Amino acid sequence: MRNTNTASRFMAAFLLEVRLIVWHWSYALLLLIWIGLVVATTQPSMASARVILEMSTGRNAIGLLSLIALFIGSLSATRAARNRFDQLEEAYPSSVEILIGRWLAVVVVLLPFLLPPLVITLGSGSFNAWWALIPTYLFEGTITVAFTAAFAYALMGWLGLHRWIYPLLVLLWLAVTMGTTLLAVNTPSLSSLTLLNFARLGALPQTQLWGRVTLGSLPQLFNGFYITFSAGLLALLAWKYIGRRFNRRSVLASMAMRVSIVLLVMFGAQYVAVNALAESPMSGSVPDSYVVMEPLREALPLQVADYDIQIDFGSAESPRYTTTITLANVSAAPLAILDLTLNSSLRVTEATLPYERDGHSLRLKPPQPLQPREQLTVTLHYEGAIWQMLVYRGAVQAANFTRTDGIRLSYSAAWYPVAGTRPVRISPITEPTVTSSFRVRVEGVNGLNFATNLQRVDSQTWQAKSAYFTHLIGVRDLAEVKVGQFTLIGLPDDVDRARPAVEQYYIPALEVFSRYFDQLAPEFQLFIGDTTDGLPWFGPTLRADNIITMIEYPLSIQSLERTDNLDNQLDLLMTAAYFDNDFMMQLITGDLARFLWAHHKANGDSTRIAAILNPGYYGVATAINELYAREGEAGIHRLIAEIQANKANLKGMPSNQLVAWIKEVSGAR
Amino acid sequence: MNVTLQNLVKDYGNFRALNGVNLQIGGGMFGLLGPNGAGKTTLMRILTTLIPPTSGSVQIGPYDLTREPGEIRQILGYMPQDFGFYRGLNAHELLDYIGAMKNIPRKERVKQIETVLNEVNLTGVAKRRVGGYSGGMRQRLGIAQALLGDPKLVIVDEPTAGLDPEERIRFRNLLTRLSGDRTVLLSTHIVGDIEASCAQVAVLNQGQLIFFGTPEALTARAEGRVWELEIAQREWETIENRYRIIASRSTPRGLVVRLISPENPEGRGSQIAPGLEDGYMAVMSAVSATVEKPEAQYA
Ligand SMILES: Nc1ncnc2c1ncn2[C@@H]1O[C@H](COP(=O)(O)OP(=O)(O)O)[C@@H](O)[C@H]1O
Ligand SMILES: [Mg+2]
Repeated sequence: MRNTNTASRFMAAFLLEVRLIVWHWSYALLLLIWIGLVVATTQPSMASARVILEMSTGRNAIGLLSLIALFIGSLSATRAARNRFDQLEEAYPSSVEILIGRWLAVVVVLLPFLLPPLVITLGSGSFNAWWALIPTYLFEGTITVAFTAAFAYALMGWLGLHRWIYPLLVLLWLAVTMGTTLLAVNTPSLSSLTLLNFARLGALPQTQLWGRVTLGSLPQLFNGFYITFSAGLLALLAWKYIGRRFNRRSVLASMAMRVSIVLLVMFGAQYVAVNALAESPMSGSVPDSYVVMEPLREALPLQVADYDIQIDFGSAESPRYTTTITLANVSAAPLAILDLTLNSSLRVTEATLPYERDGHSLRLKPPQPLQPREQLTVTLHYEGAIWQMLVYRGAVQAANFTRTDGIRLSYSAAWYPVAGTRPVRISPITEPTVTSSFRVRVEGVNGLNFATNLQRVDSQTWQAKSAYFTHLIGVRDLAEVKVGQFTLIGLPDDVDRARPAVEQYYIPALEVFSRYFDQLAPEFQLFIGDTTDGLPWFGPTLRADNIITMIEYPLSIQSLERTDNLDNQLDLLMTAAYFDNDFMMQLITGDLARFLWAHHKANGDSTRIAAILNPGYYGVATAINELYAREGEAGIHRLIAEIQANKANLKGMPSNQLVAWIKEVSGAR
Repeated sequence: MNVTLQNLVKDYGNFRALNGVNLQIGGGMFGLLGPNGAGKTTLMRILTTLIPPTSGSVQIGPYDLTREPGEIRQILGYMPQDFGFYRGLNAHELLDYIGAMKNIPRKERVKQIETVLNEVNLTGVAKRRVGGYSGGMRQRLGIAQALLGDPKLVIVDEPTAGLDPEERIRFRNLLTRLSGDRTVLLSTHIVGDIEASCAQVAVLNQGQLIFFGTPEALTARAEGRVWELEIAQREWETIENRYRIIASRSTPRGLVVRLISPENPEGRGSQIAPGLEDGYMAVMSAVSATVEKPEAQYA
């Protein structure tokens, strides 16, 4: 009887509160404004549903909704007092269930606000991809709303009814959401502060290809933290309310409070612990290690000439590697100890040579020293899961991982033995000047689709005669489509979106380029993924044989029609394909690319090329065009030959000197 | 339903609002009389479990106030001195919600709402927003919600305050009619409110109980002490300083004042039979000569 009474009072309070909020003109107005805001702030871009829901509009919606929840929660919590109904109400034989019912009503009436972002993303990409995003989005939105409403209820229960509370709430909201994000983004060591960002404002650094896999347990810990926080606040509210109205300590509420506190501390501590483990390589915008593109000052005595890697992902927790490497002594002295680096997470179980393992170091001890120019083949069996995290813009994410739902082994993971002893960091650990032949085979793929920057042999095998920075990725829905010289790799939706841009811009551009670089016929892999480190975003483009791999943001491919953007892409493409990836050459290769692109658009007419190029801005390209106007295609051929011949001088040369140099080249005849 | 108060004390900080009140309330209408600030609302808020007493004990029927507030709320109907409703709702919706809060089963609730709305004569406006109600209608709705659930103890705090004289009389009659076999505790600072209806009366002043008994006993306190006196206009000040004046009216020759005095005032007063008002004034003036004079009205 008592329980059914409690339940029906709970229901009555819930329903009345829903009615009081929803049957008020302000609710409909707010919802209308909300829909307008969502529509207005979501560009009709071709971004995927994931990008919209988890990185832009969806996140902002949850964030702003938390502020609304804070307000409506406080209004609801003080409604009885504001209407002087509280004196009546407190004499009724009800208990805390009416507060909980009202709190729930606040949560429920705010849920429709989560829908507009969902509706607006319905057309972005495939229905299935969209459908798969809904549960998480709704779940997390609900947690945030539930928490902020519970917070408002607890705060109002504590402070009572005051007008100054409302501006205080806004300040509090701003301080916590903006403050924690700002601090965390600017100070990698404070990345744990993101735990306080209850509003979830600011992008969760998800990757296009792996979604949340890179975030590991952090989202669960975050959600767990706020679920228990909300429960704890409600328990506190109940405890105080029952204490006041019934002159007794509620055992149930106090137990709930204790359990919540324990769980809260557990989730929080784990969150902080995970953050503490992460590396923060990015003090500046570009990590130091990427800048040095010169060969190592002292060449390593040992090189790995060939890799034959087989990975069995069948035992998901701990993939098994069988790697045969051919080591070469490239120094003048014999080597008694062969120093290699292999990720310390990988446990060596068997080797055809005696070895010592200490952290990332793997020292092989051949029976006799390896003589100069001599080679030695070793087979290593090792196994283990890799999980390497870094702090990126205040948030922790994994850069290298082997999980059942996704695999990302970049060149920084040391997932195969690399010559020399070096720290395994989320930065390159091999030098682009040293290439090896590679063969990679994967087994037990568990529904993942794989890709590397090597030449594909079959669905599970890749190889290359000369490669560096080899990476291996496994993604559940990975599409690989060949368009001309381009292989597009990415999620099916993204590949579909990128394809027209590739056909319209990349292929014509390459045609123009190849007219002047006919001795080379590179192939391109465009990884339509995103930036996160380990794969070459900040750094060199991957290269294996004549395959150039580039990572493209889905959005940057789609905005190619904006000329400045296209210039940047072509610039990278050209530098990678024809100038050995040499960034120091970019000033001239970039403008050369610009000129060639204008050349293509203007059909070779130098007056029209001049009109397309902005002479004030692209002085070097304009100088190239002047050369072209005088000498035609032959002049450009000659210029390119001169550039190749004078690489050393041209590196890092400022643009005014470059213009002078081009004039010199054209006058040299 | 018996209500027993023993040595009830309530302090607000270091201000003592109730100072050792002992009281036994039986069935029927019970009037709690006292000037503003006497502690009536404080006492009622304690009885309705809204605030805890500082010390002392209260027993309501079989329940102890401090230990069993939940049980007491279940048998209680309360109309506070100062209250409001959710303005956007109509009387029906409100009573339905309140009925649920009072644990009245749904079917029973429908019947009871009809009954109480009828009793307070609000049936015709039951579907109108209460935000548009007049003061009298709002007070009647206040009574309706208190009666919901057929409470054994009804506590009504200054229900006639703010009503015009006609409404006030109607409201008194309503209360009398509804009291039935319930215990109704009615507080007021207007003697007329309890005159006709209450079986027992208590007078509270500055947190202390200064009278407890039947209305007749209260009236009797003024026996032989109520005088009427004809005075000239210029005498007013002197008389006012010397005696406790209950009422005055002007005549062509000056003023006729009704006052309380142990002896014949100025030797020229004529003794008259006291009313309840006079009894109230008599106990008030007996407590202390410095007591602020209550703004009593002579009905
Ligand atoms: N919450 C409170 N805090 C402090 N003083 C109070 C409070 N409520 C009432 N009082 C004081 O207690 C005294 C009795 O008040 P109250 O019970 O409202 O009297 P009545 O209802 O008889 O007019 C008054 O002097 C009043 O100012
Ligand atoms: Mg009062």
